[in-house]
Amino acid sequence: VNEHIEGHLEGQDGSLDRSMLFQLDQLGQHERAAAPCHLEASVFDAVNTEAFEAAPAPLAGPGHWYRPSGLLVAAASVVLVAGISSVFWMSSLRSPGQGPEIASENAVADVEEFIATVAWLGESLPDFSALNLAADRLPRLDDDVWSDAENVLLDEESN
Amino acid sequence: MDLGGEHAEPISQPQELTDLLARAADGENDAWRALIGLYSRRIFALCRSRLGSVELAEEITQSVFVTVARKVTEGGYNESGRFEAWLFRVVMNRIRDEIRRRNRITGDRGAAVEAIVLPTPGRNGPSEELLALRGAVGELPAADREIIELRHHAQLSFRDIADLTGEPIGTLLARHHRALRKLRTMLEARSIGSETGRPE
Repeated sequence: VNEHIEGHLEGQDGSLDRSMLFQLDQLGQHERAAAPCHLEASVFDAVNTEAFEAAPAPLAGPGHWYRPSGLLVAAASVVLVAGISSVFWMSSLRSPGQGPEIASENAVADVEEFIATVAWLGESLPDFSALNLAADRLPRLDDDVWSDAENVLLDEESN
Repeated sequence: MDLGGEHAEPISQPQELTDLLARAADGENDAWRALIGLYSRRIFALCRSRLGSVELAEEITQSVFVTVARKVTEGGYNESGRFEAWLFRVVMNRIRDEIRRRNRITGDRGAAVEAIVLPTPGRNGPSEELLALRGAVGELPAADREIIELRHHAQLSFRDIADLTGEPIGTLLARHHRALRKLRTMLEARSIGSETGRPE
C-alpha cells in the first residue's frame, strides 16, 4: 500500500524525471555493491563479540544455560534463609551461663572487687612523693622514667 | 550461510520482519545473519555517501548493529512495526555524531566534512555518468541530499523516512522532487560545461 501511495504521489507531476530516478537507483545499487565483501561477516563477528559475549547475560532467552532461572534464585534464597536461621538457633542452644543476665552479675562482681582493691590501696598506699618530685623535674616522660618508676614500685612491693 | 548482500531482498511482509526480530531477540544466530544480510549494505551505502570513507562506513555499520543487538535482546526495542525507521534513526544519529566529531577536530563546518570521494571510473567502478551523479548529490543542500540518500542508497520508503525525520510525507515528496530537479539542472550544466570546454 505504501509503495502504491508513493508511486501515485510521484506520478502526480508529469515532469518527474524517470530517468533521473533510474540513475539514482543505479547509484544506490552501486554504493551497496561497493561494500567490502567481508562486510556481513565482520558485522556478524562484531555483534557476537561486542553484544553477546562481552555483555552481561540477559535474564531472558534460550541458549544460555548458565543464566539463573527464577526457580534457582528462589531455591538459593530458601537455603540462605535456612542457614541464617540455623546459625541463630545454634547460638541460642549454648550454655545459659553466657546469657546477658549472668554477664551483668559478673560485671557487678567485678565492680565490687575493683572497689575492694581501691580500698585496700587507699589503706596501705606506698609513698610515691619522691618519685613524683623526680618526675616533675624531668622535661618529659620517657622510657628511663618509666623504668625508674617500675623499679620503685618493685622495691616498694618487696618491702 | 548466505549473508545476503545485494542478493538479500527487502522484506515486503511486516510479519516476516516481526518474526525475524522475535527470533533475533531470542539470540538465534541465523536470525542475526538474516538481519545483517538485509540491512548492512544499505547502512554502509548511506554512511559511505555521507562520510566518504569506506573504513568509517564499515565501522559505523558494525557499531550500529552492535547497538541494535543489545537493544533487541535486552528488550530496549519496542517500536513494533517501525523497525526500519528506528534502525536508520540510529544510523543517522551515529553519522551526525561522527560529523560533529570531525568538526571538532578540524574546526571546519564546511562541505569538506561531507565531501564525497570521487574515484576514477574503471572497469569495475562506476560509470562516468554515475560518478557525475554522485558528485551532484554531494553538492545538494543538506536536507535534499539526505532524502536522496535515504531513499536511493538506504532504500527506505517515504513512510519510513517520514517516521525517521518526523516530517509529513507530503513535505518529503516535494523535497525529493525538488532535489531531482536540482540534480537534473546540475548535470545539464556540467554536460554543457564539458562540451564547451568551460570550467564547471
